[in-house]
Amino acid sequence: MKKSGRMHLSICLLFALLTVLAAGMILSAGCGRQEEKKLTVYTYASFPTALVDRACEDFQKKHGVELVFESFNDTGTLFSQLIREKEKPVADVVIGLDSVYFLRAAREDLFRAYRPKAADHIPADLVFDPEFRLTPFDFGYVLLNYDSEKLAQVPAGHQDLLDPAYQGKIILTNPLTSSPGQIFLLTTIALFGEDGYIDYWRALRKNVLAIAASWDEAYGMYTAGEAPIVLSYGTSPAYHILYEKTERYQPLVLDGAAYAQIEGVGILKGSKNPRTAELLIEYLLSPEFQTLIPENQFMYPARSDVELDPAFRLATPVEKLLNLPLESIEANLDKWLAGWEQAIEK
Amino acid sequence: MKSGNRVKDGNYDDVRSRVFARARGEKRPPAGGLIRACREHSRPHAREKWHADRNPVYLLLLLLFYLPVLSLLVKVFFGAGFWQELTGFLRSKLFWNTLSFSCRQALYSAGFSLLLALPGAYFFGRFAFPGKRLLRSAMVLPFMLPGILVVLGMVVFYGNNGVLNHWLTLLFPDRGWRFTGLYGFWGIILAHVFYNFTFCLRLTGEAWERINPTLHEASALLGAGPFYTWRRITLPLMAPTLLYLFLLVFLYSFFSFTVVLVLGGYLYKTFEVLIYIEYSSRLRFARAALIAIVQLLLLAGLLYLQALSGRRRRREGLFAGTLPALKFRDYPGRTILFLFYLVFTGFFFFSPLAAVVARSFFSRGLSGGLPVLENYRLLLTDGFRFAVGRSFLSVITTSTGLAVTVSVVAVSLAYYLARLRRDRPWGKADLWLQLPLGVSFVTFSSGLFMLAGKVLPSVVLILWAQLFLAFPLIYSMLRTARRELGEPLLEAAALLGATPARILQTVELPLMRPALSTAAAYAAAFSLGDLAAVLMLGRGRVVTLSVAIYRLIGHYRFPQAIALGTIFILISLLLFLLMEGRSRPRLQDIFPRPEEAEEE
Amino acid sequence: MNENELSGNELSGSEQLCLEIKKAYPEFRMEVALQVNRGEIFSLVGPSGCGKTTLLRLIAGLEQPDHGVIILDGREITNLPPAQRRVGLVFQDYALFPHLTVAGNIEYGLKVQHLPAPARRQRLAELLALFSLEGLAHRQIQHLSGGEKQRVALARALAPKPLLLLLDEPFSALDYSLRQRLRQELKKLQAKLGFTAIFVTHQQEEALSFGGRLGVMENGRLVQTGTAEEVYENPATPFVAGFLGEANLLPCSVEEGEGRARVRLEGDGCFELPLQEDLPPGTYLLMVRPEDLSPGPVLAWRVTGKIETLEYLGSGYRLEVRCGAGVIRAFIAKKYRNLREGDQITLGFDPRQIRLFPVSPQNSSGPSVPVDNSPGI
Repeated sequence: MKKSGRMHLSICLLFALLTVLAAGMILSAGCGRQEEKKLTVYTYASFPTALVDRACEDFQKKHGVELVFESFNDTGTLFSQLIREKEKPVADVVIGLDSVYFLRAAREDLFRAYRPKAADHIPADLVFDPEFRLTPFDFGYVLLNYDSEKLAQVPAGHQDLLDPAYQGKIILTNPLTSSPGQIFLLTTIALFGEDGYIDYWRALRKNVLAIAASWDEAYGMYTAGEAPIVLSYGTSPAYHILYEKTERYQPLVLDGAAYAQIEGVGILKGSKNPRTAELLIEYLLSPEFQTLIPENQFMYPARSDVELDPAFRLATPVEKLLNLPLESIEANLDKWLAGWEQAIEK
Repeated sequence: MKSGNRVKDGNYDDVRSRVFARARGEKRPPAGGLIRACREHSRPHAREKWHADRNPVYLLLLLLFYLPVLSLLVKVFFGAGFWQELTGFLRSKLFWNTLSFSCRQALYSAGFSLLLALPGAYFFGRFAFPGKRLLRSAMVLPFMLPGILVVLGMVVFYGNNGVLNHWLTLLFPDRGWRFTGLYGFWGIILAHVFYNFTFCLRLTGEAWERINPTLHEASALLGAGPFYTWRRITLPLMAPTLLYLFLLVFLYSFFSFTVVLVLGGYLYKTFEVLIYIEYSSRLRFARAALIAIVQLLLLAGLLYLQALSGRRRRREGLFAGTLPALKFRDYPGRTILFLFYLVFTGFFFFSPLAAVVARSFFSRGLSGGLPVLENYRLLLTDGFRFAVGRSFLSVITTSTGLAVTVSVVAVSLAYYLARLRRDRPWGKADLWLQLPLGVSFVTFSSGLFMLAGKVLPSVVLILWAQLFLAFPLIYSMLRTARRELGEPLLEAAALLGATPARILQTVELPLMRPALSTAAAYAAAFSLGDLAAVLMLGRGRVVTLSVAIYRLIGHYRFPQAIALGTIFILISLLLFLLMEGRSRPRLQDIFPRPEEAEEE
Repeated sequence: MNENELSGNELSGSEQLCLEIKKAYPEFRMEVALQVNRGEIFSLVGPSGCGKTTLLRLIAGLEQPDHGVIILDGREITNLPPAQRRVGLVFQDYALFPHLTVAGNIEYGLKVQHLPAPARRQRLAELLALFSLEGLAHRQIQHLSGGEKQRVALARALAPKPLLLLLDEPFSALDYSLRQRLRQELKKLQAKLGFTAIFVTHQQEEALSFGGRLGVMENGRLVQTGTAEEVYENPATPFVAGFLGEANLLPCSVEEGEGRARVRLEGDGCFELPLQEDLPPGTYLLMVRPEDLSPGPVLAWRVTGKIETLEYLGSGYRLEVRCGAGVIRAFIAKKYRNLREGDQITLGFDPRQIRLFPVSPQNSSGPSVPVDNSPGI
C-alpha cells in the first residue's frame, strides 16, 4: 500500500515527539534532583508564613541547612500524600498531624521515635505518644466561633444550635478530610454518646450552610461574612484582637465544654537526613520558636514555660475538657465516621 | 443497513487513491492495474478496517484511553468481597441520596439552561444585527473557563456577602432582600446554568438559523399562524438539537466536580465528589473504584439513551447557508424584548466574571479605596509561594508548558487520525475516540493512578489524563474540518504535479490553519482549566494556575485568588481571540450532533 | 374529488388574479401589472434573477409591495398575511416538512383548518390516489425520490383547495425525462381539476409547452404577455426574441425611397418593403429565426456567406454562416447533405417572417415592428 511508508514515518515522528516532550517535562519538573543540605517539611496550608520564614532563616543560619516547606490543603490530603509516598518518602519532617491522625500513622508505621530534649518541658497530659514518634508541638481547643456583629442571639449549649434561628448560619469542616472537623465529631460523641451523636448531627445538618473540606476554607467563608458561626479554635479570636484590634469575633464555648486538639511534629522513617531532622525538631520545640506560636499560629505552645499574651489568657474559658480514650478512638473512628456520613444524608 | 453505500464508497476511494498515486508518480503502481484493484476491493470491509482499526496510532490511543478504566474495572471486580461491597453501597442511603441529588440537579440545570437559551435562540437564529458574530463567539467563553474560576465568580457575586447582596442592600435598604442560596441546591444549579447556558444558546441559535426558512413560509401558506408553525415545524425540527443539548448538559452536570465540591459543602455531592473524597482524603482506593464503576454503569445507561435519541436522522430540514434574516428595525417590539433579554442574561452571567476582575483591584481592608495593584504584587511574594507551593513564575511556566504540550500532542495526533479517516463516513472507529467525552474524569484519573501511578512521573500522568480530556473534542473538530476540506483541491494540486509533502505544506495546512489553531486553543484551554487531574495525579507537586487558584481560595487568600483569576480570564481571552481572530469555528464542528454523527 | 372547489368560486369576469404592484429592490425595480384567467396555467418565464420568484412571493404575501393592489378571486388580498390568502405555493426545493411523513405533509394544511378527522382522512385518501402516492403515505420524506417529493409538494399545496396555485420552478431539480413526464402529468391534472396556476420557469421549452398564456419578465418588468404562439411569433423586443427560441439579430437600416421602404443589411445588400407608417427611417435590428432560413437563391431576401461550423443534428443541420452582417445561425433540412465547412452558401428567407426592432440611441431594444404581411415583392 502506498501509504504505508509515509504512515510509518508519521508514527515514528509522533512517538519521537511524545518521547521528547515527556522527557522534557520530566526534566523541567526537576524530578530526581536531590541536594544534601536540604530538609523537606510537610505541613498543612494554614501553617503561618511568618513561622515558615523564621524557621527557614534561623535554620539556615544555625546549621546551614535549607528548609523546603510544602503545604497541603488539609490534613487529610497531607496524610494521604504520606501514605502514597510511604515506600519512598520525599519529606523528612511532618508538622501538624494531631493525636487522632497519629493513631493511623502509628498503624502505618510512618514515623521513627525521637525524644527531644525539650520533652521535659511539655506537660504530661499533652504527650499522646509515650514513644515520641510524634512530639506535641502546639495545641488548641476546637470551638465554634461567632461574629458578634452578625449574630443577634448567641447560643449557650450544643442543643441551642438546633434552633431554626441558626438555619444556614453555621459553617463546619468535614471530619473526613480535616482534623478540626474530626475533633468536633469527637466532641459530639463525647457529649452525646455513641448513639446520641447521630441524632444530633441529623438535626444539626438542617442549620449548616456548608461543610467545608478544610479549616481554611471554612474560616475564609466566615471572615468573608458568608455565615456568622464557624468551627475553629478557641484561640482564633485572639488573631483579630491582636492584628485587627477588634473583638468582633468571639469564641463560643457551648455547655462550657471543649475538646483539645494536640498537633505533633515527627520524623519520617524513610528520611535520608535523620540527624538534621532531629535538629529541626529540637529547634521547633526550643523556647525561642515556641514563643512565636501563639501570635502566629494562634494555638497554645506545647511548652509550658512560655509566656502568653493576655489576649490568649482571656480567649477560652473552658470549664470542662472533653476526652475520649485513644484506644476507643482507634477502635471506633471508622465506624463513627461512617455513622456521621449516614447522619448528614437526609 | 447502509453497507451497500459503504462498498461503493470504499471502492471509489480506493480507485481514486490509486489514480492519484499514479498521478503523483509513485513508484509502486497497484499490481494488476486499476481494474483488478477495483475487483479486489469489491470485498468491502477488508480495506476499510485496515484504515482505522489497525492503525498503530489509533490503537495506541485506544490503549491510552481505555486501559486506565479497564484496569480499574479489573482491580475492583477481582478484589475481595466485591459483590458484598457493591450491594452494600447500592443499598446505602449515601448512594440513593447522591443519585437522586445528581439527577435532580442535572435535570434542573439542563432544563433551565435550555429554557433560558430558547428565547435567545430565536433572536440569534432569525435576526441579523451588528455585533452578532462577536456576541456569538463570546458565548464559548464561559465554557473555556475552569470550574474553579466560575465558582470564584459565583462566590464573589452571588455569595452571602457578595456584590449582589451589597447592591440589594443599597437599593432596598429596608426590605432586607438577600440572596442566600449560593451554598446548596440552587447555587449549584446557578453555577451549572452559568456554565452551560451560553453554549446552549449558541447551538440552539445555530440550529434555528439552519432551519430552511421556506418551511416556515410553506406552513404559513398552508394557513398556519406563527405559533402553530413554531410548535409544529420549528420545535420538532430543533428537537434533536434540544434533546442532544439537554443530555449533554445533563451529563456535564451529573459529573460536575469543582462546582459541587465547593458550593455543595459536602451536604450535596455527586459521585465525582464521592470518588474524590474516598480516593484523596480517606485513601479507600477500592471503594473509590467501586463508586467509579457504579458511575460508569450509570453513564453507560445515559449514553445508551442518548444513542437512542440520536438514531433518527433529520437532516433534510436543515439548511446550510444564509437565509434572509429579519432586521430589528422592522420589529420594534421584539427589539425591546431582545434588549431586555440581553441585559438580563448579561447581568446574571457576565457580572460574576466582571466582579472577579473588578475585585482584583481592591485589596482586603482597602475596599472602597482607590483601585490598586496590591493583589497582583502579592502574587510575587513568598506568601504566595507558601500558600500555593510554587512561585508565581513557576506556576505560569508549568501551566503554559503543560498547555502547549497537551495542545501540540493532541492536535497532531487528532489531525493525523482525521487525515487518515478523511474519506470515511463517521463510524464506530470515531465513536470509540469520542466516548471518553462521557467518561468521568475523576474515574479516569483514579484508574490511571492505579495503573501507572507508581511507574510514571506525575507530569507524564497529568499529560496523559489531559490528552484524554481534550482529545475527543479536538478530534471531532478536526475530523469535520478535514472532511469538509474535501479532496478536489488537493487532487487538483496533485494533478498539477505537486509532491505530497508540497501539497501538505502549501495547500492543506494553510487551508486547515483556522481549524488547527482553534483546536489548539481549545486543547490549551482544557489543559489550563483542568483541576481534577492535577489534584489527583500531581501528588501536590505539580501546580498549575487552576490548582493555584484552588489553593489560594483554600487558604483564604481570596484577593490573590481573584487577581490570579483575572490573569486566567486574560489568558482565556487571548486564547479565544486566537481562535476567533483566525476563523469562525462552528460549534457544531466541536460538538457533533447525533443527527450528523451518522451521515452516510 | 370535487373539481369545482379547486377552480374557485363563480364570480363574474374571467380573471382569477388581477394585480398591479410596484416595489423597489436594490437590484431592480419591480413594476408589474398582470391578469391571470380562471382555470389557466399562466407561465412566467425569464432569465434567473429577473424577479419571477419575487413576484410569486409578493402574490403569496411573503413579501409586501411598496404600492399596488392584488385582487384574488374578487377579494383584495394586498394586506392579508400569507396564511389568509388561500394561495398554494410549490417551492423550488419543495420545502417538505422533513419531520413529517408523506401523509403528515399533505394533511398539514387540513389540520390547520381544523377539518374534522373523517373529512381529513377522506381528502387525504383522494389526494394520495390522485397523485399515485397510496403506498407511500407513511414514508419519511428523506426516503422519497425527487419525483415523489415533487408530487407530495403538489398534493400538499392543493390539499387546502387554494384559489391560486403558484409553482416556483418545481421541476428544476429533476432530470430531463422526468421533467417532461411531470409536465404532462401537471397538464392533465390541471385539465381534470381546472385550478388556476402560475408556473415560473427560466426554461423557454417548459414555458412554451403548457400552451397557455405566458409572460416574459426582464429586470422586474413584464415585457410581454400572450399565448405561446403570439409571443414566439411576435416578440415584443429583441430580448424576448432571443429568450424564447433562437433568433438572429442583424443590424440594418431603413431608408425611404420611391414609395417603398428599403431595408439595408450591412454588407448583404438591400431589400424592399411596402412603406409602412410605423416604419420610419433609422437603424434597426432585423430578427430572423434560424429555422426560417433555407439555402438557395430562390428567395429575394437572401444573404451569402461562408459556412464556419456545421453540426449534424439528426433532423437536419445547424450552420453558422459568416456574412457581411455578422454570424447567422440557421437550421436547414437534411437534404442538403453535401455541404461542407468552408463552403459558400446563400440563405434566403421570407420577409413575412422577419421582425424589425428600431435601435434608438439610448437603448437598443425598442418595440418591435411587425412587417406588413402583404407580400410586397
